[in-house]
Amino acid sequence: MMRTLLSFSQQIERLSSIMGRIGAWAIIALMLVIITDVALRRWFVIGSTKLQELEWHLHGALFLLCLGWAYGRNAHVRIELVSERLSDRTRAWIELLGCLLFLTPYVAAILIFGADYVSYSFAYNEASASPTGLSNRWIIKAFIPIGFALLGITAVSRCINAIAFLFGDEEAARMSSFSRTHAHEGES
Amino acid sequence: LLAACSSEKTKERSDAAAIAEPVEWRLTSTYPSTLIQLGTLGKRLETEVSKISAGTINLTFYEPGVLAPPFETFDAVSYGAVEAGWSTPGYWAGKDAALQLFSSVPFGPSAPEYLAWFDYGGGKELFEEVYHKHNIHSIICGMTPPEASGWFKQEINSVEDLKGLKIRFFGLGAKVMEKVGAAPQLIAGGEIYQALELGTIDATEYAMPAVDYRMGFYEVAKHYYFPGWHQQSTFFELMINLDAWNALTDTQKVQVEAACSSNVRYGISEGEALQADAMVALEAKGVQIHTWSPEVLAELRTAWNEVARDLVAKDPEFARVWTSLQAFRGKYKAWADRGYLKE
Amino acid sequence: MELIVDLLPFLMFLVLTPLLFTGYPVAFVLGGVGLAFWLLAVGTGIENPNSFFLVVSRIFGGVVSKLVLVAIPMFIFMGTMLERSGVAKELLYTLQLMTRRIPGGLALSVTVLGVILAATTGIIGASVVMMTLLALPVMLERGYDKALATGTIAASGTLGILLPPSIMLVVMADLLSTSAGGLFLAAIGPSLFLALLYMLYIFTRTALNPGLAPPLAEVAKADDLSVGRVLRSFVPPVLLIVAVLGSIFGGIATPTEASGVGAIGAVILAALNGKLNFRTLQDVVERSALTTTMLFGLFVGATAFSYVFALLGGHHLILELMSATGISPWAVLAMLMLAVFILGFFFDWIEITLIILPVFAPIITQLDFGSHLPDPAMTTTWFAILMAVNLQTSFLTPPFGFALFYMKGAAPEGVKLADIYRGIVPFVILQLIGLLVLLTWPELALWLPQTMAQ
Ligand code: NA
Ligand code: NA
Repeated sequence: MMRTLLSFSQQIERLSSIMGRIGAWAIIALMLVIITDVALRRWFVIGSTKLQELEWHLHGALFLLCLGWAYGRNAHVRIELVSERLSDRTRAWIELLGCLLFLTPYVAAILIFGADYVSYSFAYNEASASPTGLSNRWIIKAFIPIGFALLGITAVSRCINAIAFLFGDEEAARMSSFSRTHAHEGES
Repeated sequence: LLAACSSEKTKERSDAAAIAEPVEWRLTSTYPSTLIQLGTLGKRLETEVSKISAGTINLTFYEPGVLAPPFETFDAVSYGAVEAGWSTPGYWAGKDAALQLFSSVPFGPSAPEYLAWFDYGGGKELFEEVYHKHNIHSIICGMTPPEASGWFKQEINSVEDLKGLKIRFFGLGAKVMEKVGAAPQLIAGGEIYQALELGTIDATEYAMPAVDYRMGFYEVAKHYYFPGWHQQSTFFELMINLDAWNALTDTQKVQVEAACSSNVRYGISEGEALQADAMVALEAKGVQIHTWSPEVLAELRTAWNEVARDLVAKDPEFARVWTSLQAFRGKYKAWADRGYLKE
Repeated sequence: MELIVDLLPFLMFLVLTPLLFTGYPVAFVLGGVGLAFWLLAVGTGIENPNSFFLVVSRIFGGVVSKLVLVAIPMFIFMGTMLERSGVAKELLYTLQLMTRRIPGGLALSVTVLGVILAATTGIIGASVVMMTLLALPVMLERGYDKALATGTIAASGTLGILLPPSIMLVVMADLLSTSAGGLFLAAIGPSLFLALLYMLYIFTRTALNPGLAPPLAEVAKADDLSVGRVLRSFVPPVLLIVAVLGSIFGGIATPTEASGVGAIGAVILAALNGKLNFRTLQDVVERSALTTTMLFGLFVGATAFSYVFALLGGHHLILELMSATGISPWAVLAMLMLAVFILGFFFDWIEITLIILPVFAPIITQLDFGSHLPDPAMTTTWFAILMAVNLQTSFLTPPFGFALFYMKGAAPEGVKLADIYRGIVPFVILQLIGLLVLLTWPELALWLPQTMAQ
């Protein structure tokens, strides 16, 4: 049972991780768009409101797609002043409770209100406020619920791992990536 | 209506109005309260509405970003996250292209003509129709005089000089600029000054002289052009969530409308006075003030007509409002040409 | 009951602080606590059930669609690439060789690097993270004291918001209805003065206690330092700095876009160094994306928290507490400065300026400091710069010094927040000294704009 759950958690976390790793390449796209924009203005004198808007579209897509992956990779800042002195079990409890009490409700709220936010934009075919800007604003807006959904997926996976660590048998606890989360080999 | 009340009558009225449930509304603004006219006119509503309604409608002004980021005001009011918003309809071009025509129009009417169309030419009905679709009731609640055409680092003598010009421009005017071969730019508000100083852009359109003066653009660009063909007069609005509006009593509705009417009048008189002072101050700073030649204006107007034609073809809602405005202006011209002195 | 409702905003901080120390990610605790208090307010009927919608709006309008924030991923990418390709390490090593006779030479060089970086961006997150990526690993490797190294980097990294271009000065100019250009000029003197103060402190401290900044081993230095080495390690980064600064001051790019110029420059340098292949690029892209997300994650969490704080009337509460002002202009000024400093422990600069400036702007312009100022018309400018220095400090003051969080997120494993907290204390004291000097000697800020106006 625990093992099925764990393998399920690995599956869904993989999804969030793949999306994040794809999204990361928006950095390169962003760099190229900026250079194009600068060059066009300087040497070809072409108005580039669309490119300039595309720039923030890209940084938005970038961090939203990576929200969940970054949690899985433990890249979000933690204040470990106190927690580093706590036992693994206590920290697993903190992770589980934090996930259930803070992260999951926050993600849920953003998803609920975000759905309205995006569907309004879609229904009225919202475009840039600038007549020379980009259309189809709902696309970039949709990255907010997508990004938070990925974060939510990772949150569920973290919860399962913490539960396996706390309540599972020894093997499940070892299989859970929980202890790894904390003893990370400095990859963030 | 209310101004005529004697002090006793005021007391009677407020007793009568007290039957209405006092409402507390958050008013989220797209401009900071300290910004001349654009912000101060909105901030002013806090006290005016409360006084006119004898305390039965209380607005609390929120600086842009404290609750809603400026460009999110529309969604905030539409969704009912806040009850009211202070902005200008032109900001919502992305929501409904037609709304741009209720803010200011390139080569558009000046204040009396604009108001005449809005009140008596069918403008108001169209305005409310558009907004009600989005669950917003909006009231024209402020007006400002013409803007300046902008700050240029080099003198511009013909439309030819505009070709290849990197100019920071927002709104419908940007389309016109594009048409005549300039390269309109979207520069973050905070970077305009430095971009102009360093030549990243060659020119910027901003606001009225009184506001431009405070922004210090004269320090980095010496040529200041008039008239602001892109913005001859500007409407500002009080947006109210439609459900919140419908929950008001008839008296309260009239009170809000009265406060707005008074605010429009105040905006025009204050605005006209302020610009006169600012022009004197700008000249003292050594700014070279230019007037566009009739040829340049004629070419820009031609370009605008093309832009407008494109927009009309693209957006039926825009077309409807545009037709109404043009029909009114055609009729009005017969009067304007004869009724006013031409100096 | 009434009292509890009034005090709810403060209660938010009371609840938040211990929760942050559980070690759960700061971003998620901020968002979760914000939501919890909003739910409480909705449950007790004092808040409208639709208003949390605006958190989504704020994420879009305040974080996603902010063009200036484009600089964050770009500078982080640039820093990661320079670190990964060895360019940064080589530069810092040569700098250390060259300054080996000067106590704390490497830390002094890092401060100078901070000033240069400050001239290219006004986004604290970008400059602090980039400095952390570039310099912190090297400083630690060379045996620098953790506190000294982190303090130096955090403080120098925050200079970016004071030294123009600065987004903060632009927002303040807007709220105070004054010219951004005037504030830019006025901020140059105090920024350089603060950098000087940091360097003076680093020099004295390491001269007295060389153990904090161990000099290079005697063996290494003599044959290592050659003209060829200096050229090899200096030319590439100097070219990069010239490209970034040059694109801004040559009128080719805005400061935001210059970050993209820097990013592509770093890629070219890596390629020239023979360090660029797909694996490296992928690694740099992924690590930059994670660091960027750490930073934006904080924005996304903090926006919910500060929104609910404002919604529950927190701003009004603060202003009420401040309303007991004296009549003398000095009393008003002192009260405002103290308030900004204290608020700085908990809020970031945008929050503080939005609480304070709209209300006090009209009062500030009326204040009369007599002959203390060279020109009474410059009261607003002087005040704005005082406030700006104070706000820069707010990034550094624990517990909620966002520069400290950014640094923690980008620092190598083994650097604890406790080290960073310890490291920042002397620099906060230096900030206060800088503020006092500016108070007693306004010319520090006002001399330049006055001279330029003539
Ligand atoms: Na800066
Ligand atoms: Na702080």
